[in-house]
Amino acid sequence: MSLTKYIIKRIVYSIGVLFGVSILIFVISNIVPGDPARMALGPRAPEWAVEDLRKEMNLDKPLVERYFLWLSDLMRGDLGESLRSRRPITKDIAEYLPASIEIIALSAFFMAVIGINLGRLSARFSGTWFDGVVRILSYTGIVTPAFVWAILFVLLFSYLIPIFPTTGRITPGLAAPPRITGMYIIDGLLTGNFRVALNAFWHIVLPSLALSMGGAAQAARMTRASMVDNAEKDYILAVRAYGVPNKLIYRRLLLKPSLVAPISIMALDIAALLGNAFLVELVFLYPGISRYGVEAMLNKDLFAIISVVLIIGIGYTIANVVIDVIIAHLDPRVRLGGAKSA
Amino acid sequence: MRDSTVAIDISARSAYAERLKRAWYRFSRSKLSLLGLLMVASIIFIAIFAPVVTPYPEHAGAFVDFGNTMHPPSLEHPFGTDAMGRDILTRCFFAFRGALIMGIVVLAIVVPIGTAVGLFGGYFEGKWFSTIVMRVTDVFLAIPPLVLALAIAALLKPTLTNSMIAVCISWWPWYARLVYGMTVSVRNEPFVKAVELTGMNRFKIMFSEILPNHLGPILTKMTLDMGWVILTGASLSFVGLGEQPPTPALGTMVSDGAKYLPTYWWISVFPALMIVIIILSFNLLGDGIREMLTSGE
Amino acid sequence: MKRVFLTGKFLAFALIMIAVFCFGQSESIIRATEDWPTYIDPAVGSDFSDCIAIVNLYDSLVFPNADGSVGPHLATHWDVTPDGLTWTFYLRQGVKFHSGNELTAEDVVFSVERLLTMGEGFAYMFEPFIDEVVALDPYTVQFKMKKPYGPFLSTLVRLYILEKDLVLQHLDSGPYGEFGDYGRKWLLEHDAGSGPYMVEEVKMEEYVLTKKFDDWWGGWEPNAPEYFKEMATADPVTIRTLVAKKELEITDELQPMESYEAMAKMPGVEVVRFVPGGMNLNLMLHTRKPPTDDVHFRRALAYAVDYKTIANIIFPGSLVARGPVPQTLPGHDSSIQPWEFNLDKAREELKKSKYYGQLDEYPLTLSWCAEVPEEEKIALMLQANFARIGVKLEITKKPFGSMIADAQNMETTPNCSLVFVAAHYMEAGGMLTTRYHSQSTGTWEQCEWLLNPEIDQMIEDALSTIDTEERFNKYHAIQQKLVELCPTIWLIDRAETRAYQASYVSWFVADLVHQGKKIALPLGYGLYAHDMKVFPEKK
Repeated sequence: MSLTKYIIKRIVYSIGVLFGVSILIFVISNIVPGDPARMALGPRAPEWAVEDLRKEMNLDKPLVERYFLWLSDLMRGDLGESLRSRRPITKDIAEYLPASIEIIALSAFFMAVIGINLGRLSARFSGTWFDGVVRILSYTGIVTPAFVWAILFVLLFSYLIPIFPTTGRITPGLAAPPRITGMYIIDGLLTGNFRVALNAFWHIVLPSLALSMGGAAQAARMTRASMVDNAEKDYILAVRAYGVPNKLIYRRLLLKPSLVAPISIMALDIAALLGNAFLVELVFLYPGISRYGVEAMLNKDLFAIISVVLIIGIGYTIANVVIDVIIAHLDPRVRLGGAKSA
Repeated sequence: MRDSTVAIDISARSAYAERLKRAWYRFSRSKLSLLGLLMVASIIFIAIFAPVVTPYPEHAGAFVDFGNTMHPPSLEHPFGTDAMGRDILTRCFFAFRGALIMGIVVLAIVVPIGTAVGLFGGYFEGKWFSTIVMRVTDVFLAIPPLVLALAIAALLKPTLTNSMIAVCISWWPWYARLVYGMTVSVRNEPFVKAVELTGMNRFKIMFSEILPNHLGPILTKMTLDMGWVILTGASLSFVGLGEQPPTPALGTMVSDGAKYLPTYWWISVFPALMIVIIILSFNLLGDGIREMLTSGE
Repeated sequence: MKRVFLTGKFLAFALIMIAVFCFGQSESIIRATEDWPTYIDPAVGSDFSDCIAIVNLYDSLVFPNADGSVGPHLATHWDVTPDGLTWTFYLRQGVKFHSGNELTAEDVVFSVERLLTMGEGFAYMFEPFIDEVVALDPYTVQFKMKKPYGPFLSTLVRLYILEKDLVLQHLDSGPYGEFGDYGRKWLLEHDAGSGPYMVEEVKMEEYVLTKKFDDWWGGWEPNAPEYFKEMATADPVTIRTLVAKKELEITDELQPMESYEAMAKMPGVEVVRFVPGGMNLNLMLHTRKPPTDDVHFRRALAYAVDYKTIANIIFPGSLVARGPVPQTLPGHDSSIQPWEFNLDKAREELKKSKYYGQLDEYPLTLSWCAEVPEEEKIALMLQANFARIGVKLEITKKPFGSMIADAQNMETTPNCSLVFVAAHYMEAGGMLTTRYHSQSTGTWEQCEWLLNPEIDQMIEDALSTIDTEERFNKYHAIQQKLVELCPTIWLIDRAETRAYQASYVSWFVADLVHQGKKIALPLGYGLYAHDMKVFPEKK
């Protein structure tokens, strides 16, 4: 199977799965009791207005019909209206999603850079004190939940040594940059508001770090293990016998083949990252999609819950496809062996 | 791995004792595994005997003492007291109960279901009903487990039972997937084909011939998962979806204490530390078990 | 390893740069916090958070004074026929909306019709009484009443005037016929008012930023804040940090006491504590659900509460409640004594209740509001208190939104709800209506489901009494009747505590507190930014 064919197959399959996800979350959230129309208009609204809204929201129709009506709205880019913000959910998402993308992108960066570099160095200096420290650190990183990191970081770097802000997206009083992508850092850079861009970056350092700790630790451990494994392979021993410097061997020859293992567990790390973002954004009161999701969940804001879960599902699925493709690229056996995602 | 079907020894019993002894030897070679075992044992001990080992067992129930709020850690209150004047050490130890119940109940429900689905799907791989079952599993796997658990728990009433239901719903597919993979890989092995020729019932083949080969990895995953399930439970209670007060829950304690940072840091830091210790213990134990099961080959 | 160190150096440099860049700035702004949601549409909002924004954005016909009375505002004067059925208001001329157009009687008529048709927010105050509103000429507006309405003038502070033309330009589809959604969507993030401040930006779940309206008819004094920003957070950590950095001028009233103590120690920060004219904390008991449907059971609970701890330790400065109406609210019956904490009497009452001997089968459920962390202390204290008379209390922390949803129906309303209630206008009648009239069941302000026709009748009768003394006597009778029915355990008349930047902000509420004056301002008017002053250079 060629790589392109593999990618297409993988994408088609993922779309099918996402339809399943939409059914799952729609059904789960629609079987709980409650009257969203009444909740939307408030307790003192006249009954006829509530009745009209109920009709508008299709609440008077059977579940299956409601699902398809919702789906056709979705296809037209309409996710319904949030009960809490009282405006279209697409608008809410347009506002909160970019904020989360910033955090998640930076955590992924931290995860890869810190994880792989630590693992690489730890493998190169394996057996030394440095290796020992990294191993202990990575075990600690794995067993400490992200929200605990978040609280520790706030305590250490916002209070004890106050270099980072405790909460929020930018310093209150500072105006957000003109909207282009919705991501303050990028918008700030594009429009020349460097101060805002830096300020926004400064706000996401701790949350991203807290989110990335687990994945970075995992990546360090995997990278180290597979590098140490590969270092004993014949071709490396041969190269070494030619007197090629150790540093070069580790950086040029060993790194790439040793990345398959850490990348293949990345899918799990990303799942954890997306989930943990719900708690970490809460700790930092960061106005991202996860915090919006938590608020929606706690307030039983049905359509907002459905939308957030669906978006997370889409993001996660895309991440999975990308990872699978990278692995298929690095390791052709995967696509030849008739890959199965299950 | 196949020796379980071959080893029909005359002195089966002594062989069993011998294997156990060897397994223990492999396990106990690692000091970390022993430490993990010891820690898990202590956690279980503390949870069971919480009313005896904690200094102020009444603080775990309906109790307030506004004269003793926010005391920093001291000999009297090693972890300090919270905003209601309750001893945090006592509440942490009592919270072990809910945490362990969460872990045990969830795994007790999730492992059999997930395993059965995985076996079924793997053994009948290619048949239409297997395809359907595994596609459904994929749908569940497409949502990060914590997100799914949060969504479900939020829609139900916040209780320990409901948070366990939520975690169960998001957790079973992982076992299904694990067992499915392993089943597919042994399905065409000669020993399975051999039994099939004898005309044995297919369900019997699945459970008595194929399943025993998977027990090792399942057991390892279970031990490692104990910590992660407990963490998911703590994450739910962190958001306020879980055990309701006055019953202590570690996640709730962390989030309540976070309001009082940095001055009253002990209110959230110690419960957070307890969560880390629980996960660490089960991880060390899990790694030990994995070592024991794989290094013997 | 060199690259790691280089990255480290770069990071350190970047951090220093950021720190340099991110220094605070000085500008004339008052920032106050309050919990989200904040609905700035005057036909939708009615909560504390909504009111703060609305009073600054919109003008009303009359304006409340600090002592609870009202004076002229958009209306310069008015008259009423002796039967109390026709009120005529004469409008101030030359009042401009933020758009620059003039405010006329047509806008008043439109605003009333919009409020009554939508039926939300403060509509309940007017809906049973107002029959018709007509514009006699551009500056005269007449209200025809269905029946006499005693406290009408006091309630008029809650009738905010919107610009008709502007709203009509922003209609969306909705249930109100030719008016579509009545501008509801647009007014979520915009204003159509004439008030001293106008919307600059509404950021959902984050803030409402308003800017001084220079052409405001009432004029401006020097040093009035250029901006007023209502920020949607009550998170204690954030708030302490913001106050310490002088990035927040006036805090909300929801902080834990430990936080106020910490902020009081910050230089330049003063903590103000006062009992406003109309906020009390209620333990609402569901009178239609066992076991709280039994009056003896309810009284037993009322005797089992440690009121003093709540008033002195949990909400210091508060007064133990004396009946359903806050003591400083005009119309309170001062002959009502507070409940005492007496477990013997509690047990006695419990014996009289039909649930005695089977208490285990009837555990009580209690919800408290997640946005007010101090309520947890009360909830836990009640749990411990009630346990002493053998009553089991299960407590649940709920976001306010969920409590509202639960209150909408009899089955989902818990036995006990711990809720702060504020008077919407400064007279006992308002509070009695929102709390105990059958019409208010299904709202979070009545989780009792009292549904008592006699009480309804008494309230309606009192409200249609024009003579003040007679009306107040009728209020007293209602209060006594309610004490007897005991649908609620009235815990405290709450002291409002807020921290503010005394070193560079002059805040009229703090001044009144210093002068030892009584404060009876309707919800939101304590943060009327027009009357504040800010001196950024003194930071």
